[in-house]
Amino acid sequence: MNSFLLSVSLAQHLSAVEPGGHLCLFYEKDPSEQMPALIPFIKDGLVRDEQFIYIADDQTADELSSRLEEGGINVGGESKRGRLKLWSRKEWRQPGELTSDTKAKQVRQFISEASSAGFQGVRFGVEMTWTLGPNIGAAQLEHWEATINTLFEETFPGRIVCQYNRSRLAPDILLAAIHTHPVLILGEEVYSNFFYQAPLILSNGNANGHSGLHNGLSEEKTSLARLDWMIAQLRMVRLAEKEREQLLRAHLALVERNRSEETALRLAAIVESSDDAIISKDLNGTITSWNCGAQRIFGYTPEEVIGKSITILIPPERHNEEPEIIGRIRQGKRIDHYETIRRRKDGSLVNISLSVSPIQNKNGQVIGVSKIARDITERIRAEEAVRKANDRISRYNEELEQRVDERTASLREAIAQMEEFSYSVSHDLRAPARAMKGYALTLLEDHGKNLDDEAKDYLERIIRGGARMDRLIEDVLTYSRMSRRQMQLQPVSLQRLLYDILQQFPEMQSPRAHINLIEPLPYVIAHEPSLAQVISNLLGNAVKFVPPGETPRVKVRAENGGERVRLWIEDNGIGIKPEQQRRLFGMFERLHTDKHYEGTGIGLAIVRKGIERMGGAAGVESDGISGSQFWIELPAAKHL
Amino acid sequence: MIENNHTILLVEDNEDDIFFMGRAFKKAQIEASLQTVVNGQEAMDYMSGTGNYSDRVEHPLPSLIFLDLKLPFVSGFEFLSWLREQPAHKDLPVVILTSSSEDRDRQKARELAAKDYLVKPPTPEMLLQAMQYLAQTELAVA
Repeated sequence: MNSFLLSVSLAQHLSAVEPGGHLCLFYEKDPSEQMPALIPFIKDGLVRDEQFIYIADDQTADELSSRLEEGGINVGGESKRGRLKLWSRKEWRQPGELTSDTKAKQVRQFISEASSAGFQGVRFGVEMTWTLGPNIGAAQLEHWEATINTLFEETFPGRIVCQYNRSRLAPDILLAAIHTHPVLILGEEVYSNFFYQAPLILSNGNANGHSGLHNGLSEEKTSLARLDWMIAQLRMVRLAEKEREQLLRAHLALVERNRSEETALRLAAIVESSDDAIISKDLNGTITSWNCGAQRIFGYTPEEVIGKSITILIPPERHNEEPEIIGRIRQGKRIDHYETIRRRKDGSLVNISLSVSPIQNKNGQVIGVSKIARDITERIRAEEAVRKANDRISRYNEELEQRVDERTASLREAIAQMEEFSYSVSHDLRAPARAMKGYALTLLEDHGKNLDDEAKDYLERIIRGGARMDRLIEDVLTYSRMSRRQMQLQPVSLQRLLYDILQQFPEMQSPRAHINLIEPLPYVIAHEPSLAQVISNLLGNAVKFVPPGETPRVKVRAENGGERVRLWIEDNGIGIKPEQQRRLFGMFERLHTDKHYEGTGIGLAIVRKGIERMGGAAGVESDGISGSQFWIELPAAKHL
Repeated sequence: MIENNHTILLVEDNEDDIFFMGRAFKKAQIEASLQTVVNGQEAMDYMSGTGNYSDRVEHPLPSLIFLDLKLPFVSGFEFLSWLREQPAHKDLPVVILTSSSEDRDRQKARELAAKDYLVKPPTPEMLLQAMQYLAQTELAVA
């Protein structure tokens, strides 16, 4: 409690009285001296919706009213509300003997009445001069205060200030008062009362403890002298406390000042050491500070510029920037990374990036401008260089693309020519192949009877050779056609196409083969003749590559994958070993020699080429033992 | 079978193919006289009865033409389009023989109203089938 009194003012202390608080206030002579303590006490209570009962003695209710009004309390209003009761002795003093019991009962009654009326508590202000009766003695006073101490304990919804008029009351009464209050208010000071004898409470109707007038006192015999002495002691201690408080405050202030000086010095060092120009100016544009960086960038010394207008740095064509900047700053706005040009002392121009912010005083008013200017010449130059490099690169890119286009065009032309060539060569090879086979056949037919078996055998070989050559040429031509022809892609019914193909080739029909179509087969987007070629090749393979003596069994089914359709052609043939699958779709790739299975090795290349040109894909799955599953994938035909 | 001394004109430059055509004819036992010209120009001369072919006894007008497309000087199609412009011959049945089954040729053949499109070498069966076109025309005329 002592330390908190150190920095708390009278008003603050009176506002912070806890429930059950019991204070003693001494005033010299005039009741108005109580007001500095009383007013805060009352106000605090009213704010908390507590009732205030004042038992006046030295002043009349009127005098009191006007003093309270002066102190800012709405006496009329509060009285109407019942929150303020100004009583005289008459209302307080009940007939009959004044005993602690009756008084205690009376106080309790006031509290419960207030509570029923809805108030949060009661505060009492009691002028003690005659309140307790005309012949009150110190012992009785002690008894009274003890009663109060008993009643007004920590949780009691009441607080009380007992007021003692020094000029009216006998010293021993005052002494008793001092002994019975832990806190003494004397004039405008709050004293922690080290003369307080705690606790002085009632038990069994007798006051316990005594006024201890003998403890730690000097030899002054008279009560008055004793009183004066006590008060003097209190004052002395208080003074010492206050002096100490002041010293502490002064020290704190000094420490603060040192710290802020230190901070200020540190800030100053930062400003000076910065490479950027840090300039401050007032709202008229007059330069008020100028750091090292500013000197380095602009060439002026601080003496040359402080007091001059900032416009000496601005090239004439940019003078309008300054009023704009000031305008924004006046509104309290900042400017960040504003790129512009300024002029050095020697007249040369420099690219800078400006950051400007307002300088405000403690009241928030804008009193000046702080500018940080960064020399960005290097950066601008670097950006230029990058831009030039980029331009060069774009130009190179364009040239490159052009060259690529040209090369592609000539490449395409070359390919076209080659295709044309291979086409016509293949085409022209058919005639002699035809001749070879045809004449051999004629010879066999017309003169076979004159030939021995060997001769006939030779002729048959020629015929077979010719036939094979013809097949090869045909396949090459087909492949070439797949690569070259214009393909108009349209919806094609896989169902119908499969039926047509199966009808065309006897080797795909029973009893030579069993081909099972899992219906329905959907529509795809394709070029019909090419797709027919592809599927014929795949089905042809499926029925061809079976173990000798085995009847080929082929299952054809479709997988609908939303955007794409995958057609599976699954056979029970000899399968394709995984390591050979890679080569499968290449040109002239044959996995088995002529003896077992004849073929040109172009069939699957035709499949791959055709499907690719139709925007699809082809592949195979096989474990190499139990047949192969070939698949082709094409875009699904919608709306069908 | 075909009677009445029909003449069939073969327009073909390859001597082997000419040989095989003749052989197929024999095998199919088609009793018609087969006349051969070796290029488009000769074909035009034959049909217009000019030059070497003015004698209609020697070279009667055919009731069916087998036409190869790959010919020197004047190609098969050039001859055919010329033929279709001759009022007397515009409905004459023409069967195209070729070793090429190119799409565009088929399209063109259709355009110029060729009756059929046969891929060489011709078999007797193919020829017999071709003879049907003759019969149809015969009926039409009759």
